[in-house]
Amino acid sequence: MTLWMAVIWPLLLSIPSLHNRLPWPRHLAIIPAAVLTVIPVDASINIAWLLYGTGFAIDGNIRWILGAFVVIWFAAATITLPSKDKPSSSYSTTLYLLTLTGSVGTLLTTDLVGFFSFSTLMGYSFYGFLILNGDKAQQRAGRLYLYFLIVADLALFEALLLVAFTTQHFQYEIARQVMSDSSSSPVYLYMVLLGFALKAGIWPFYFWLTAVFNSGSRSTVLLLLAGPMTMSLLGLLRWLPVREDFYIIGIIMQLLGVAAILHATLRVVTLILFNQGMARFSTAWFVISFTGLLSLALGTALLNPFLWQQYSHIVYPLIAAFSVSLSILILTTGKTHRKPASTDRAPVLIINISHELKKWIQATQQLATYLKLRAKTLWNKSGSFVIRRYQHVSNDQKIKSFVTDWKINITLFLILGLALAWLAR
Amino acid sequence: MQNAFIELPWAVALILLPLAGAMGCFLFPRISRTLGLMTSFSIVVSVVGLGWQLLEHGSYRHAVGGWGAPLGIELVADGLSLLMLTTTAIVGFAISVYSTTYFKPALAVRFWPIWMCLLAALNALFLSADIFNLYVTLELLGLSAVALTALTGSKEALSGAMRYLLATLLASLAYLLGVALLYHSFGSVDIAVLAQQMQAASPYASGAIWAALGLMAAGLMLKSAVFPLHFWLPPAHGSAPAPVSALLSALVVKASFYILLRLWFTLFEPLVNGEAINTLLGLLGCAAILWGSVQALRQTRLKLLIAYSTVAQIGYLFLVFPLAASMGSIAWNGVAYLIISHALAKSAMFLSAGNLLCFGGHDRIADLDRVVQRLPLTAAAFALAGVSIMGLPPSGGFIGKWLLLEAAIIQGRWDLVAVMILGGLLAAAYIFKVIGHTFTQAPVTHEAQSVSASMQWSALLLAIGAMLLGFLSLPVLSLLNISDITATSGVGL
Amino acid sequence: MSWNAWVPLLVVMSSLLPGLIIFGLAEDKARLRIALNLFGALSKLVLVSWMIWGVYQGYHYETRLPLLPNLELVLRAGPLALLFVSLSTILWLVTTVYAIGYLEDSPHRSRFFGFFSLCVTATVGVALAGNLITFLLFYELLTLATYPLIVHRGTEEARQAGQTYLRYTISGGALLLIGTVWLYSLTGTLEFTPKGFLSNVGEQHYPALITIFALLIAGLGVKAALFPLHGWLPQAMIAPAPVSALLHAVAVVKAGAFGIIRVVYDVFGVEFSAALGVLAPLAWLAAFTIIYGSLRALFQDDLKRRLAYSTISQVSYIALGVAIAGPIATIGGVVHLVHQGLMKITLFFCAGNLAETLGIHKISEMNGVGRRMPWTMAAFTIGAFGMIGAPPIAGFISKWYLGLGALNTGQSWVILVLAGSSLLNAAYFLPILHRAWFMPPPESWPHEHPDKHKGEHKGEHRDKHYWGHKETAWALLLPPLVTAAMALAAGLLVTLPFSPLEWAKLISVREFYQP
Repeated sequence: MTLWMAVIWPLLLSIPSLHNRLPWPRHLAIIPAAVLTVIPVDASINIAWLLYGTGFAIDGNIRWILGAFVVIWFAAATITLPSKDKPSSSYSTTLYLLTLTGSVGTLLTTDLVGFFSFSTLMGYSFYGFLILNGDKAQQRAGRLYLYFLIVADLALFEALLLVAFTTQHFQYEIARQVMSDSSSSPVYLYMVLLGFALKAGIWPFYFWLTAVFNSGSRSTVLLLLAGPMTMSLLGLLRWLPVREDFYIIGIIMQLLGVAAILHATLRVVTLILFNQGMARFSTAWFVISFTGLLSLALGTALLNPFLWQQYSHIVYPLIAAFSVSLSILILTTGKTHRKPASTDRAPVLIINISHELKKWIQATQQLATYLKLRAKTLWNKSGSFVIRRYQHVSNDQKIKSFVTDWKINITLFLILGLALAWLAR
Repeated sequence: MQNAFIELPWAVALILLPLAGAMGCFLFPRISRTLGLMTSFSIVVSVVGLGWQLLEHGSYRHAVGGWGAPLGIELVADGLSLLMLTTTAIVGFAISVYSTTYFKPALAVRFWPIWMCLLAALNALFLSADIFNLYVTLELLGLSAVALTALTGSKEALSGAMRYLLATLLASLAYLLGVALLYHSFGSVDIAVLAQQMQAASPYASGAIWAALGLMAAGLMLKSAVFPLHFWLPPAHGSAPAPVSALLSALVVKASFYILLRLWFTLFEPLVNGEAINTLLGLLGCAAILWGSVQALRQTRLKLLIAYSTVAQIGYLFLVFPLAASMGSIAWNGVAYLIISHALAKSAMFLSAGNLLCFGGHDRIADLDRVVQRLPLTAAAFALAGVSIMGLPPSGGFIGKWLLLEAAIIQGRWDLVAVMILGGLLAAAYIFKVIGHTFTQAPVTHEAQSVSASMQWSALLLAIGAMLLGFLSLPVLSLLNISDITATSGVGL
Repeated sequence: MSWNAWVPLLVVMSSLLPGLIIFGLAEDKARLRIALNLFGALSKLVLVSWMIWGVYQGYHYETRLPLLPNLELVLRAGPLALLFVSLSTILWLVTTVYAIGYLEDSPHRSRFFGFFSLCVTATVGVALAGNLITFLLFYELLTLATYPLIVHRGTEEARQAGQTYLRYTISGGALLLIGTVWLYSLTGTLEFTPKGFLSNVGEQHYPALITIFALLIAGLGVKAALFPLHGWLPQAMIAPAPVSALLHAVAVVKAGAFGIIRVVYDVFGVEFSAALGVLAPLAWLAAFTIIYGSLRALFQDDLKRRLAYSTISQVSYIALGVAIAGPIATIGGVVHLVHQGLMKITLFFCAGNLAETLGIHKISEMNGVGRRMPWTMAAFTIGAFGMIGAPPIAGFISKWYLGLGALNTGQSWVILVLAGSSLLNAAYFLPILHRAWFMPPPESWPHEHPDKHKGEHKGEHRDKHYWGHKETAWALLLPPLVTAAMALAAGLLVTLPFSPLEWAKLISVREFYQP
């Protein structure tokens, strides 16, 4: 029952007319989740009628992360208290709570389709949250996030299709096992990696992550941590098929992880050296280094599945611990943040690319319209030419009187009679 | 009681009643409207009686005055003639109802006697069994129609009627010449007798017989206004009053076509079995469809549009000749259905055009001002009749078109299929041109006169009848197939 | 005829008779008209539910009336027919409520509702048709009944739009007619049978059959808005919003798509069609239309036109599902019939609300409208996300099955088309949502409609008596919420016995697996 409440309660609270009447709605929403964390009972329910048959479950591993979440959300909710009287804060709360619902649902659900559904809810709500009460920089970050989100969702959808093609069951363990053994697992692997890398901001797709960290308020960043990013990491853990043949991928992932850590360290060092003192910006790089570490670990796991089975359960508490420590870091580093640097070339580049694409499409469309217009005028001209000739001919008085002249008609009549008689022979 | 009802001489009644009505209307002009209406109604009753009789006894032969063929006049009724008579009765009744309120008293006293005469001529035509009698009725029909066309006495009416008169006299003359030639060759005028003799004589048919065929066919085609001999039709329609246009398009041109059908498939059947002559008629039919539809699209006046639409629809009827030449009972059924549904639909269209003329004082299409809201019954009548003309389901026109298309596809005549479909598309173009304008507001609003309820309802009921025909194909076609008048191997007759 | 034989006929008549009566009503008899409308809609709903329950119990409902020698008018309640009929009935009820609210105080309502009822009669006839001639009859009747609704406003613009509409649909009808007559002359029957009735036509007729297939699909493709026969649909948006909603999102366009389903499954049979080789071109054409419609939608500023191009794109999903020729793709195509109807009608209702209450016709005028009309935009959001294919809304389910079906039959290029279409859908729907929710509203709306129920004002319209707390009239607000909820439920509750998906599975099984 509490499992249900943990998901439904924030969803209900997100309705504006409801949460406008309750005090501290953001805090209220996490109560069922807190209860679940505290009570050490493993539970699971099977909901056969929802989607393709899903369910909710909680066990030790999940409890670690849920606990971390509860703490972080409590912190995030508390921080935003003073700014409650901003206009449109009602909608802001709605989107906040929807993101929360999505996160809890993603965490608690037991199969792939449920995971995908809730993570979609979470992703789009977070996008809305970014856009709604942010300044220009945050809105740009939100747009970046949206582009990445859409592509990621497409990739995950294709991955889901592959699973459906191979098997009927969508529970994590079964699906992962089946996909490891099936013939389409390389494609599946690519799709899963791509999707979650985009969603979690794993190097080299980290641009939106740094943009949000750079421009967002503290609660936003906290929410980001506790929501989309961590959930995507979790998703990677749950969806990834582990098999021995993924040698090359494993190597690549290890390389990427190492590159991430190196890049992050370099950046942090540069920042500290040149005393730009941007703690929160560096926090982003901490995150990136962590995800790099994870990537390294997964790469190793891909190379050696045996290791994975032994150590996979460590990752959960690890993620939980990391999130909490990072959030403490954020909380204590104050509100200052710097303007987007010119070094942020990549996000600008991506936005520029999308502008270019739009201009190109518009140019094509203008060409098409022009061609269509020419074709139409040509058609009209020729059509009207034909019509005018026809009307000239048929309106001509001389022709008219010719046609109705008796001599002509009688001649026609006689010719017809002769023709009929002749043909009848 | 029932038996007595059936055994009355309905065929004779069908001819005598309207003649009596004509005389009555002439002698007592003041009650001519009532008399005319009553006569129309009694014609409907007579047709019902005749139909019952035919269902009981099969086809029917009645010698007038007890003198049989080849000297006396015989009246013959079979499935096709019954259907034509029914159509005449229904459309005639509707036109009579319409005319009770349409004509001002001065015109009405001239209208009713001639109209009754015309009905008598039509009924006699459909019941005739010999070719000379057909000539007499044809002539009577033509003269009455001309008189009705010239009814209003205006300049256009008179010139149109004059043109029609000369055309119809020319045609009748040719027909009479053909009758004379046949009589000279075979010594009889009865169709059944002639058919037998033609069967025997056909391998060595002499020039006289071919000439007879040529003359009679050409004359009947001129009367039926098939392309390219349709020149008299639009002027006659353009200037005649609405009920007169209705009966011209719906009934009069069908009468000569009926005679052509009869003669072609019973009398001249051995001669016309070949390909070429039927192809010629089919070609003329196709040309009529295309030319009539294109011309209709160009018109700016409603009545002329409907007149050219008639020219096009007659073309459809002429497609029976190439199609029925081999195996054709499907084509036969199709054409009969087309005749009936076109009669109902076209008369509905002309009557509604008359309503519009009465309402706004003009019949320009572009200036039809929101008629659909101000004269809803008339707009509905026009639209429903238009659906039948276009051949869209569910209407009688669709059934006829379906049957003709089926016959054409079975025989592989893709050219005819293409022409029929194109004709349907063009018909849709000109009908919806009119309907589109009934929804919009005209630049200049004319003052509206009122239109009496009987005028609106008669148009609407005829149009509904054309639609209902779409569901009555089985009873109608079974009536059609009541046995024929000759014992020879007529095609599907 | 036994009672069971009357039921399909009664279902058709239940909107015909009220429609004919409504034609004769005077303009001011609003209550009587509303009562008749609702009576017709509710009685049809009752009868359809009865039929569904009866079919579930194993009864047969079939009406046979003679039409032509050797051909009958057949109305039969099979699973596919019931799917479409129930969709039409439920959506007609919802749209009637909407239309009553939308057209309040508009002129010529009797005429409108009369023709509206005729349209639904024709749609239900198309759904219940048991052979190709009955289908053709009601299909053409649908054309004739929808034309007066398009030209309802009586402007010159409307008349031109009507002309364009007719040019396309009457030509399509002519092609359909030739195909039908030709088929009849080849086989002597036109009854819809699962797996088709062409199995014993000789090999020498195969070229003829291919031509017939092309003719039939061309005729149906006009209404189903396949490229290049889609040109009438954006023009027809000139009609009032209830017309666009029901007809161009549900009745007319779905009738064309339904016809394609019928022709491929119950006339030709899907395996026979695949053997003839006609399904591959259909798949390509459908795929092209999907991408083309979405591309054109990107560049429209008028909201209803954007939705129209979106319809063109989405209805081709159904044709694509049919053309992939596998049982799972069948499920995807058939279930998308229902899902797209629900989602699109929500979108059109919302567009109508915006136009009617605030005078908004263009997307560029839609800034911040989410604050003014939150419930309407919430419904719009659900519909839009469903179109994009985000779970758990219904559109996700149909894309799922289409993609799966493509994988199953080895035609993986379809997945690229679906992915591309999702991307394009996101590209043209998300900006609308962004504008509505996240941008500040303008000073005043283009033409805010005063609330008619707030007392009399002689002459002056300004500030005071506008909607106040209410968003808009309840008759305009309730229908989009209902259909949005249904779209959400169709996605969330897919495994329930009477969900559209389960029904579609039943239809697919009948077509592919039963002898």
